[in-house]
Formats: sequence, C-alpha cells, structure tokens
Amino acid sequence: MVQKNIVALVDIGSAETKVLLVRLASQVEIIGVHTAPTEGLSKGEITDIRRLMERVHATISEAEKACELSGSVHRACLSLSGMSLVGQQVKGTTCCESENEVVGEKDIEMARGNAYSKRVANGKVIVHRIKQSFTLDGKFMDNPEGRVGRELAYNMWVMAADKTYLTELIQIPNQYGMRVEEVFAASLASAAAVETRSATTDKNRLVIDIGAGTTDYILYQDGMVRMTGVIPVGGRHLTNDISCALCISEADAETAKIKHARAIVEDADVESTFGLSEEPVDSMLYDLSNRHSTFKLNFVTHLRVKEIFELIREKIGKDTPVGFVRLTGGTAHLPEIERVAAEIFGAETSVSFPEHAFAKKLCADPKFSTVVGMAELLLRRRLGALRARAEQSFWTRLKKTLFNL
Amino acid sequence: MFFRKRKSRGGEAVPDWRKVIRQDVKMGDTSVAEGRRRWEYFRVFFVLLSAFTMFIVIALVAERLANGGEEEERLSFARLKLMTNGAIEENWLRGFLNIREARSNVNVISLRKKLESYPQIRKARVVREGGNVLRIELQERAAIARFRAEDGRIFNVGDDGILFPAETYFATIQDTLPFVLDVEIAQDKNGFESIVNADLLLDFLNVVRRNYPKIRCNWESVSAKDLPHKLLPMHFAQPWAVLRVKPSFPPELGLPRVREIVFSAQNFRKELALLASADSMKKIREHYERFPAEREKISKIVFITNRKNTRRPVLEMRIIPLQETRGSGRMRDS
Repeated sequence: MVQKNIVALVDIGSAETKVLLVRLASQVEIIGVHTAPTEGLSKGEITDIRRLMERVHATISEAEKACELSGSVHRACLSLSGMSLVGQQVKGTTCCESENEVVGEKDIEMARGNAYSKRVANGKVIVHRIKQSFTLDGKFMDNPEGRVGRELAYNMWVMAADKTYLTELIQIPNQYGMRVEEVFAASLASAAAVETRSATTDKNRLVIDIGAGTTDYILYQDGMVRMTGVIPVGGRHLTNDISCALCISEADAETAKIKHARAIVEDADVESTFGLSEEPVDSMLYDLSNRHSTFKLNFVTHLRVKEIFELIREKIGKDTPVGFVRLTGGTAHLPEIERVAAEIFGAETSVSFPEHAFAKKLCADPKFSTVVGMAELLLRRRLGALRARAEQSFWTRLKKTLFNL
Repeated sequence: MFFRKRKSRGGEAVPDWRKVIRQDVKMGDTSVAEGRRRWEYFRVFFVLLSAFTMFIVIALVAERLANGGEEEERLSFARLKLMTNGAIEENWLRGFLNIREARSNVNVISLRKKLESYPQIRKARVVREGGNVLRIELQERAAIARFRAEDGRIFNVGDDGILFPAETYFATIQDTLPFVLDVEIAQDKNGFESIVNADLLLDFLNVVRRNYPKIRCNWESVSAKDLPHKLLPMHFAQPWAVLRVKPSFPPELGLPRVREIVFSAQNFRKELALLASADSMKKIREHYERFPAEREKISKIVFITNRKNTRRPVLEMRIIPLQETRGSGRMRDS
C-alpha cells in the first residue's frame, strides 16, 4: 500500500547518507532512521553519480525494510549543501504612490514583486527565498503599512543552486520511484533543528553545521536570516591532516580523531602519547610501539578547526556582532571545539543537539541535525499551507485553480 | 485558460526550482531500484488479484441474498409453517422433505433446492421465523389441462406447459380439466418435462382457465393437431390454423351430437366470448327447433366472420352437420 503521509528525508553527506522516514500529521512522527557510508560524493560535489545512486538507493531501501514499508514510500525531501549552493541579498524597491506618501498594501506588493522578479546568475535556480525585513527610507522595520516614507525596499535572502547539480541530485530519488517534494538548504535545516524558541531568539546568533566535507553556516540577526553560506572544509580535512602529520593511514587517523583528538592544545599534551593498537610491538632498531604524540594530534586538529571558524568569521564580516554560536553536525563531537569557536567569535558557544521532542528518542545526535531540521521545516510548510487554505474562501480557491489552468 | 492571468505587480516572479527542473519519476537501473520495480509489479498484481477475489465474493454473496436471504444456511426449528397458493399439503410436504419436528441443523438451501425440484412448485422460500419456526412459502403452478402419457399415466399441465404429477393437485378441479392431444413433450433446462412449441395452445388454455371455467367443464380434449409446431405470426390468419376442442355436453343442454368446436388461432378470444355469451345456447336451441332433423345428425360448431357489411364484420357461430364420407367412415361437412 502506498503511504502518502510518509516522507523519506534524505541527507546525502560527504561521509554518510542519513535517511529519516517520518509520518506527517499535525505533528512529526519518526518511524525509522538509517545511515550508511556515502560513495561518489566529495566536498558536496558529485564525483561518481552511479556509485552515489547505488549507495543512496540501498540506504533508502534499508530504511524502508527496517520499518516494514518496502516500496511504499513515494515522497522524498533532499538536503542541499556544497559549493553549488550560494546565497545573495536581494532588494526590491518601490516609490510610494499615494499623495501623502503613506505606505499601503499596494506598495508592499510592488516591492515584494520587484524583489521576486530579480534574477539569479546564469545556470542557477532558486531554492529558497527568505524574507528579511522592510526598509523605508533606510530605516529597518517589520511592517511598513501605514508608515510615511518615499522609498520602500523589500529585503530578501535568496539561496540558489547549480541547476545541473540540483537536477542530478533530484534524479537520485526519482530513479528510485520517489518524487522530490522539497529541497532544503542544509544550513537552514540544521538551524531549524537546533534553534527552538528560547531566550536566544533575539540575539545575533550563528549556527554552524560542521559536516565531513563541508561546513554550512547561517547567521540570524534580530530573529531574521541575515546570511547563509558554505565552506568546503569539514571533518574529513581533519582526518587528512592527522594522517599526514602522524604518518598513519586514513582509517587510523579517523580513529585517532574520534577517540583521542581535542580541539585545543594544553601543556600536558607535550609529554602525552596515545596508541592506536592494543598490542605494542618491541623493536631494537625502530620505535614500532604505535604510540603517537597527543600534542601533534591536538595541534593539527586545533589549527584546522581554527581555520574553519576563521573562514566563517571572514565570510560573515569581522565586525558583525555575534551573540551566540551553536555548533552542530558530526564534527561538533570534537571535544573543546566550542572553546575555539568562542575564542574566534567572541561569543557564548555551545554544541547543540536536535531539540525537538520527536527527535529525542532516535536522532539525539548532532549529525542528525539536518534531517531533523528538514522534518521540522516540512511540518511548518505543511501547517502553513493548511492555514492559508483554511483562510481562503471557496471562491478564492476556485479562482486560483482556474487561473492556474 | 478560462481567465486572463492577472499580471503581478512589480514584475514577473522568477520561477523557483520546482518550475525549472522537471522530475521524471521512474525506476532506474540500480540493483535496489530493480528490486523495487519487481516489488511494484508484484504489488499491482496482488492488488488486482485481491480486487478480483473481492468482486467474486461480493457477487456470490449478492447472488445468495438475491435468492431469498439464504445467508443463514443451517438452523434448528421447533414448528413448521407452510404458506402456499396451491394444493400441496403439510403432511405430503413432510414426507417429501423427510423432516420431523424439533429437528436441528436443517440445511435451508438444500430444502429449497429439493422443493424446487418438484415440478408442481414454481418457487420456494425457506426462512426461519422468530421462536424457532421454519416457514416454507410455496408458489405452485396452476393446472390448465391434463396429459396422458404413452404408458397411460396422467399428468397435469401447468400454466407454463410443465407437466407435473396429478396426485398432489386438487382432485375436484383435476376431473374438469381437458386432455391435450397432439402435442410434443421435451425436457426443459431444469429437467422437467414440458409441452414445447405450443405457446398458442397454452395461451388458449390459460384464457379458458381464467375467464371461462364453466365452458371448460364440458370439454373432453383440446387438440393442437392443426397448429404447426413453430407457429409464426403469419400463420395466425391462415384458415387451417385452428384448435379443435372435443366437447362432452351434458344431455340437458340438448347438444348430444356436437362432435367438435373449432376455434381459429387468430380470433379464439372473441370466439370464446361468443360461445360463453348467454344467447349462444339460445341460438343453438332455436336452430334445432327450426331444423329438428339435424338434431340426430353429428355436427360441429364453427365460427365465421360475416363480411356482408365490410365496414362492420360480424362474428357468427354456426352449427354445421357432418356427413359420412362414402366407404371411408369419415365425416365431412355437408
């Protein structure tokens, strides 16, 4: 039986593909979650679409099987990250038409229409349009209706992706018999997962989702999205650095990162060592004890983490005030990472887990922030659509339907 | 397009990804997608099979319900209640069905089938009433004539031509029924013996049964000898298409030597009405009073249409004396 209210939320990351099966009603109910290593994707770019498709299909299939829903899920949502995703500020302006320059509904609509008609770069398609605020003669405001002014501007943050990349990405669920309902930017989804209504709502806050191949960030100012972005550096670079510095394999470097690495260097680390193998090997000529310097490990890790945060700081502007930083994503597990962020951004920092009640049982891990946020955003959109539909009269809906024919 | 789309203020909006990227949802060629495709085919097949099975089940249930609510197959009863429009009696029915009072686990369907296997019963309905009463409702065939088989057994002819045993019918009515002669007997689809290709004869007998029972009392037999087996509408007007009735008038009527009454296939209703009218016998008596010599002759009654007045033809009844053909012993019209 086809399950129309069940949606597969697919987050194709550079290291892992996360699939969350959720049932949408007035609330979200997670009915299954499955993760598997990704192949064919690096730093948010597709390197081998055949392998990627095989892996993603297998992961979705496993998730369906675990929930005894084999072949029943036909709707999917995708997360979008990587360098193909860009964000830009768009401003739609208009001059107030009334004689006494009082802003009316018509002016607001004009400004909004002007903003929506702004084109993006060639080869890009719009994924999200996020309303920021109005500006009336240079003054920011939430609702300009009834105010007096000459020039009204509608500020909007537009997120656009490469058309070819998005087409290839959408093709993956399509080839599995699934229709893609929504595409969410990973930064937006992660923020929706960790940012519930709290005392920090009004602060200038920054949410950073550090994945394996990319790091997504989103900056809120006065409760509105100010900026989003992606930098192509993530946890896998840490692994690579450790591998080079300690002269160990990638697999050992990954183990060292997970078990022993810290984001800061302390004095005690200079004398300290760690071992990757349980059984030490004795040799007269060479040191084959498999012991490695903790200082080296932490130093390399610290430098790379510091670099990530500095890149973000540079992107958002050195003078932009940041009140609160929330770190999420798989690499946020790194001990003391919040201290480095606090030092760079000069703000209170914490490692955040998905905070929603529906996610606490199965997805209480920072690496699930994106998929949990996708579920939250999907629910918000659904409820918003239902509310808008309920507010519309029968004749309005009929007219809209006829217009769309 | 029924209406002109209103142009949005501030310019045409740039479409988002939903309108730019066309989704082509189909099963790809990855190994997992292949498995999913096979599963889809299986599911479609299973759904179709389920739908077909459900359709069959619903059809069977509907058919059962249409046959008189036989959803309750087996029941026990304490008393039998018989309702019939015919002559079948309760004692005979008990013997026929081999049932006793207070019997448990009676199969209602088999009872109904057994009842309907008896040719006198046209339709049967067996239901349980409140208080453990088994109610049997019968719709019986009415006898319109009799038929003597080659072995000498006598059967009743039902109003639809089916033959049924004479034992279970009203004896008093049975004695007044005429015999049908020169008819063809065959088995119908239910295995009953019936008169075939004799729709006109059956129609005639049904009309007589309903409207002229007193006339029928004086009839000994009805012959379909001069009716073709397959009577077509074009045959109705032919003079040879007739029904021959052999009467046995009681002596008090004064018609001891009427050998037959001949009814035409086309006009037998009017002729019957004429024969049954009160002044028919009067005319016959007047005829014999005028020609007393003919009283001793063998005669037959025929109906002719007097067309002297072409605008208003009149149906008349005539008594025609018969003469013996020389040497043959046969009688012919004088």
